[in-house]
Amino acid sequence: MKGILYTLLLPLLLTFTVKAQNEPRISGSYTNTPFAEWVKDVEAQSPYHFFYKTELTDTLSVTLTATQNTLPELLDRLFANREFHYAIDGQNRVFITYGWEIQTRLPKGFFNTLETQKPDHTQAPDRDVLVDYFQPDRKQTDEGEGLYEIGVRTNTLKEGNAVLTGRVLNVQSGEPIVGANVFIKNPLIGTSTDPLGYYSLSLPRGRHTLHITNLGMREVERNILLYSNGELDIEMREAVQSLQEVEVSAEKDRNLRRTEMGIEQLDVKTLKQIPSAVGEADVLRAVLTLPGVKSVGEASTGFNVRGGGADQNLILFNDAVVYNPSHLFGFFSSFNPDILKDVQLYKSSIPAEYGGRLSSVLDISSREGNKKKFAGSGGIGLITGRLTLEGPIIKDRTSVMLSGRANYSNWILKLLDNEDFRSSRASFYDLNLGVSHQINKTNDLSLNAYYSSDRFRFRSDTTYNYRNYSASLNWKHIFSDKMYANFSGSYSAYVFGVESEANPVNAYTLDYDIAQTQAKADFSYFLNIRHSLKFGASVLHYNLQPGSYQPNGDQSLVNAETLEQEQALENAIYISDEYAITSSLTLDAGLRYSFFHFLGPQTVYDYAPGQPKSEFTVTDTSFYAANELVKTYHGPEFRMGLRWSLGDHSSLKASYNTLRQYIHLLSNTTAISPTDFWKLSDPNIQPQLGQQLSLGYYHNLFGGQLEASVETYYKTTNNYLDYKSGATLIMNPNIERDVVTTRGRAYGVEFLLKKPSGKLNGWLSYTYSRSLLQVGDPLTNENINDGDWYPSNFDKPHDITFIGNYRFTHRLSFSLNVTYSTGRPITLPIARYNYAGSERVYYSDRNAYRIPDYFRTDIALNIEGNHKVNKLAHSSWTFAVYNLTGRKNPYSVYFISQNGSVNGYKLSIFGQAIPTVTYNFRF
Amino acid sequence: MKDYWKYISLFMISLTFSGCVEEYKPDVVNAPNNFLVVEGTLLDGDSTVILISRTSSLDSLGIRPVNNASVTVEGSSSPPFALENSGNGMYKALLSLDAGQDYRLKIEADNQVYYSEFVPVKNAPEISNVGWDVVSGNAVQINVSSGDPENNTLYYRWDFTETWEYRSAYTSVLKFEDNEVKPRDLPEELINTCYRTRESTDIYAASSTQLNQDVISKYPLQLIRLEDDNRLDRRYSILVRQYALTREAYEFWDILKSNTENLGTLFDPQPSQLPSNFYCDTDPEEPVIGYLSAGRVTQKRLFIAKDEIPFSFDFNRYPTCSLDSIVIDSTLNYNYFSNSFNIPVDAYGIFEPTHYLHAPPSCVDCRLAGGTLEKPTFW
Repeated sequence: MKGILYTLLLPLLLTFTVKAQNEPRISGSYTNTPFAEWVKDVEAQSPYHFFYKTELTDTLSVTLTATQNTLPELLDRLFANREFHYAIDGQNRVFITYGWEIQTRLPKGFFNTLETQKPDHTQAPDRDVLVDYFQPDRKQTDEGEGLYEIGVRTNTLKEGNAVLTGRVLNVQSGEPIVGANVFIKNPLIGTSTDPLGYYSLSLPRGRHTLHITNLGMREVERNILLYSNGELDIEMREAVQSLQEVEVSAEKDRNLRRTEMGIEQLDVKTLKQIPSAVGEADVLRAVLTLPGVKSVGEASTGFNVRGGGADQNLILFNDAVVYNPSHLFGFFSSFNPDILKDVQLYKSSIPAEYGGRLSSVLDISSREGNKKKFAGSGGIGLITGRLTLEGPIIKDRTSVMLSGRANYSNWILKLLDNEDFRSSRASFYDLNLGVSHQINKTNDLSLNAYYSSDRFRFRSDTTYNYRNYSASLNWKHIFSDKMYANFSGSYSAYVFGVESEANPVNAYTLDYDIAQTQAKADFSYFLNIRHSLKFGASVLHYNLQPGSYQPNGDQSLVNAETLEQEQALENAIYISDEYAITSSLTLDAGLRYSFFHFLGPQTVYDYAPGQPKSEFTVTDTSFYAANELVKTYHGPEFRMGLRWSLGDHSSLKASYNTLRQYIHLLSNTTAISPTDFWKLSDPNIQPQLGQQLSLGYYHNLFGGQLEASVETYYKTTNNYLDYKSGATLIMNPNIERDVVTTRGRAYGVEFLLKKPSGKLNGWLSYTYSRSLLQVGDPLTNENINDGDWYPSNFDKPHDITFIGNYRFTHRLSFSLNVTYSTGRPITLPIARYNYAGSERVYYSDRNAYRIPDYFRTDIALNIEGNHKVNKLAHSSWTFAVYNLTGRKNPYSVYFISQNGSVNGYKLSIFGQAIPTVTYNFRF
Repeated sequence: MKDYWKYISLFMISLTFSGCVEEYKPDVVNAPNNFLVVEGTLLDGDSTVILISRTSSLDSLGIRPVNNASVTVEGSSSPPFALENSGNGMYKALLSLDAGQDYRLKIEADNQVYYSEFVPVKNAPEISNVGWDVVSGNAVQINVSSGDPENNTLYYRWDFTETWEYRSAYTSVLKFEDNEVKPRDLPEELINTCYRTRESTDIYAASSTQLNQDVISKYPLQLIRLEDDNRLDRRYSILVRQYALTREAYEFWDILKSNTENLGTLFDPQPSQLPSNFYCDTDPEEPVIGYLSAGRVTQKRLFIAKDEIPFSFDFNRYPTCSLDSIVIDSTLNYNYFSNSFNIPVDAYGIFEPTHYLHAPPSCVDCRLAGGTLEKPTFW
């Protein structure tokens, strides 16, 4: 490779000595002469030949007098204080550029061998040789040696841009790396790899150093010489801890460069460092450590992003929606940590390709199976075990990965002394299957399937179970260097059931299910260096069984009742353009338009306008046939992002988003419970609407070693559901009569200081935020707090989180988490009175008080086994203590009247320090 | 090895799921809390009692009855009828309600005028059965079954009065009277058998709307753990009263119950705002607590004798009691029994009584455990 380069450059270098002697002289007097005319005149009286873009010079006029001047003298005068630059090569070609300079001088050390050949006294004048674009701070890596020539070789480089495309792959497993940054530094042009690891960059032709970075991977550099459009695949190596000398500096600058804001990314390594209460890496618990994410308490399924409801998060697992992301009351998340690749949380600018939820998108993706060799991994704990097997079907092209996880706590429950515990049962398991196949260079196929099942029984009479199903098929196709597409089909379902047999007369079974089928097409089109377009469409079909209540057993008198099925179509189209207005100002403008069609068969009640909805105000009842259109909602959603880069180390971003959500979670409990269920918007329940404005400032210190940012936001929501007192949610065919709609507003500011890499890594964040609701329904007599704004259940203004990891040696690391937050709001009793023979309490306004503040410290020690290559299995141990200080953080505060008096209690879930041990292996 | 694993697992689970409940007394809450509380049902052909009180702050003791109110019942087409103030916040009347009319309550107290909404007269159907079952091998669950063949009632509420017979540890046949120990007149002067009566303190309300008949089957009322108290030691009786509710009244009772009895587990609902059908006419901002219903009440009584329980049990209710003896000697006996620390139980001796057996009053006099000696008329 080097040889080719020498032969290419040598003739150019040999012209060094030739030119200084007889430089052509130019004479003439010009007044407001158009540049093009002046060029003609100069070309006529000299051997020079000009190359320039007319659109750049058509406003340039020449006023000067030349008497036997050299061309550089004239051009220096002409371009003084202007953004124009010029370069003249040995063949008297003159290149005029605007905004950037063609470097023509070879620095010392560019070619060691050539430097020795070049006599030291040879004083190479300026601008005599056009070599190419060049990176002065070029850094060699062991992988980056050599020059990669891209495209059809030509003797001279053409002007303008060429498109470089390719794929970034993990060298060990062959799986594509998603979200890797591919960029050149001067001028700063970059992109990220798409979900299949592809990138596409439009670069000026010539020589560049391509940088490829990704979290948890070693940085790669490639020296390229770009002749024309072409391809370059790049393999990356994981940042193995034993290679101490490699500084892991992935993700540096990423926070500055992307237009989107409020994106949090976690990789598996970070996930595994965060100590958890159950000894297993846990996605949802890790997400909760991010700024702007809160929950109502430990062991709760839902999380709240920037003051939004728990149902306003779109949780995607390999592009398929997951409705209940947790096992065992939220002690475990539904995602097996062994197969995860990364997790992205979008909390302020939500790309136009996502829709259907107001607050956030949590995009969880699993790894592809190993395409090179068979491998396995797993872990064993006292109540859970997990195992993953993966390997190639066709080497380097097709891989399969199968993994399972099971909880076997029943045997422990049986050993307990308490009778209620002994007759209780709790267990869960989940299964994952992933197949990926590379058909050819332009087509890629992957299939993912997921199943989870939970079952628990309290005492011996009531059994709860719930299951998640999902499957997705993705086909990625590359049309050209500039355009690729991703087609996907997915199916997701969530089912729960309750079975009671305590009293044979009232014994019942209750079943609920929701299923959605979705087809999506997403296109990416790199129009030119300034415009990068994304567009696509999706079709989504919902089918819900909102409740089926059946007698259980012969003696049961329960009235079999089945609520009407609900079905709907949610379709959307979108387009977004990432537009580089100048090199420092980028606009990402997106528009999504969504349509929601509520379909029959359905019975729909009309209510008297201007009156509360109740059985007494029904004015008409309409029956709709199967698939008949009942109601359509539609509207645009705007997704705007603006990035203004303030030099190399800081940037300013702003975003404005509007969103629509056509599905509601019905729950009147504090925590999300497994029996909460989803309801579609219908003629009487309006879709939820939201908008968010955010502003952020990002600054990188110490060359990206430390990232600092501050983001602030203001958002409003409409039509979020709250419940009338005494509302029946289960088996209610007219839920619209029992709910009230609320308006919400949330605002806050988030400070984050992050050290992404190094021996000591982690982050410190502080958030101040508020989340308030107000009954927004004039048609209800239910006036929570007299119609004033009241704090939502997850309004926790102050939040400080520290996540830290220190690596002592390659095999020993220590993690520390500290988190503090204001206690969540609660409705407190404020007065006592006697009623029905007992003392009772009268409650304050909704959420007028707070439970005591939350504080928790966790530590973990990770010990890796040795890294001998030929070992049968690699293993690691994690020793962790959750809630080290043993603080009894109240989960819930409640008051009960017992035997005639009112007593207050607080309940904590983890009342002591909880040590755990986990053993993990890999082979 | 087996034991080791068992030990480790128990250790782990007890640590991992170490949820704990502690007492919590927030040093809140000084909000103004002087709200009117009205409790009672307008009963047709039965003694109606309306209880009026005011709320007090959480850390204060006792209830605050309103004794200066004037209370009247107004029918939608009948003249107002005043209730009689019988003290302690109670206002009584014997009413005869007309099923075709709606009724409301008017309360004038502390310079404010309060009204209830007009409520319909809803009569309760007969109780089909009050029964019991042995549960968990050591407790008796009292239950009520009911129903309305016309399918009109749907919403039910019950309260009850329990009465039970119990005995003191020792039967005293002697008494200390006029400074000497004398035999008691039997059986009139026995103080070993008492009857205790207690009103229900919890809320029992149910609906049959989920069933295809208006039937309530074995709705659980009182649970008696045999180990914990003496209610079934001899004979027990419960008088269950049944009220028919409107849907709105049922919601009130249901919310009141879930707000104050049911909270605490992870998935319980938040306290919700308690509805009321009372309002302050002179100050609409002032909340009033309570819900008025009207109608006829039905009732049914159940008896359970100890020998009906299908197994035998005998718990010592007086583990600290023991008999002591003292030589019969008039001076000594005077000093011993006159201060009421001891009550003579019986006397013993070989040829003639030489010693009295005695015990502390709580072991001898059953009235000290809260009951009365009078046998109820229904017993």
